Amino acid sequence: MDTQELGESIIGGDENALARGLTLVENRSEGYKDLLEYLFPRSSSSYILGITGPPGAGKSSITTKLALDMVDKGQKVGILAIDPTSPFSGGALLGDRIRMGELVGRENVFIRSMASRGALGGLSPAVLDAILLMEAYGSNTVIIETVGVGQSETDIAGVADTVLIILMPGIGDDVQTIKAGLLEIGDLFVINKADHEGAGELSAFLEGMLNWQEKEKEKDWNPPVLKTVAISSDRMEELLGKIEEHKDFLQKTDQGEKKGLRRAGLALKTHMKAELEQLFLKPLLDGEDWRQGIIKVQEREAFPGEVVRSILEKNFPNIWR
Amino acid sequence: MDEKRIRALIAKPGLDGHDRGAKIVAQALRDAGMEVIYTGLRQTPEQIVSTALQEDVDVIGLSSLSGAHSHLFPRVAELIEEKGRQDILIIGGGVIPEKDRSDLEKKGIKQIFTSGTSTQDIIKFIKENVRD
Repeated sequence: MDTQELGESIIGGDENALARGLTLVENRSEGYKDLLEYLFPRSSSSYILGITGPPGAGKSSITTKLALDMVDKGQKVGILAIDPTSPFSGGALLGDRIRMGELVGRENVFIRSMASRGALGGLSPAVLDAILLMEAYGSNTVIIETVGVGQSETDIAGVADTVLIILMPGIGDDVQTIKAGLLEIGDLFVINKADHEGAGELSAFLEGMLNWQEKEKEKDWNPPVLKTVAISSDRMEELLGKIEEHKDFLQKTDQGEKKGLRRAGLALKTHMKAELEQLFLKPLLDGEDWRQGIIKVQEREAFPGEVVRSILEKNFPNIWR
Repeated sequence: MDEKRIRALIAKPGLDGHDRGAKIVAQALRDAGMEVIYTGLRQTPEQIVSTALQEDVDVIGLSSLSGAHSHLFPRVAELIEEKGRQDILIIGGGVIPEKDRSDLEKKGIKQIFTSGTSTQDIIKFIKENVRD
């Protein structure tokens, strides 16, 4: 199947074609750029909901409940569930679907598990491309569930319209929650497993910190803190209501447009980086000077920065001028 | 630039109560550099096939301990064929009596691995038989 045919099938809502297209872009296989370029002008932006938080907090369970409700309301939902790639083997165990049983086989839900493939920050490099494919397929909402590491996956803030942070009581002291930068990126906070001990304290602490942050930044959206029990659907209605509220807020203020611009910038940067790596970095790393440089550094003959500067000067004369 | 990895679905059709074996296989495949989707217990053949298609896997590994393999495994193969995706390799494992083996292999399950199989043999079989 050629790229254009594949693109047409994706736009026509063919599930198989979407699945194959996703594999193509994930693998950076031949033709993937053509596919993306074909689809881009032929699709429109979806609402992107990012879900992040530490492992075991309930990201997949909440994703499932939210998606079920969205589908009931007539939406077409795409889910990208990202789990970590092992830095040792390159393999990955993608287990988010274990909690998504209720969604499997339903119409208007497409779930794709993705491995992070070495990306720091909780997202796979192909995530933006995967979103585009889902949009072309006709999804009006795309839910992205990030790797559940909890302290560094702030990339989602550059991609999502709404960032939902899911926490749970009993995973260490409260400073753990404010270390990371998670507090700054959240539009909504959920304390899941709220029937466990410590939920009240965590919620009070979080509200205090957010309150203080609010005054510093004078944002016009106050991130709410909700307590849920996802497995019993307890208070999920309220969460859905808050998500709708945030969506409205984005539409009524300039925040929605700002987020769109940021996402466009991120897409541009991602592509620029990939091209630069391929054009300039890769040949340098494959070169003899690089190998020699490693030995020099290992024997303490030259400092890494020095080696890098000399390699750059040799390959790109006058680069510093 | 191609970063092709083998994608595998490890699935448990039927009503088995435990999945130690399936998890061990899933881990071994991960350690062999594959991307392994694990869906947990009690999946219907329909759910398994729906997952396999959305995830665009290269191989489906079915595990059954409860004796229902003769019905459930071929059902998965049948549904995969209905969807026109015979390019997906299907293998099976678990508690499978020797006498059932050839019947399953005739019905689209390419190989049966019973308990005691080395995970290395499974990895080798997948790598040699998976689509390009």
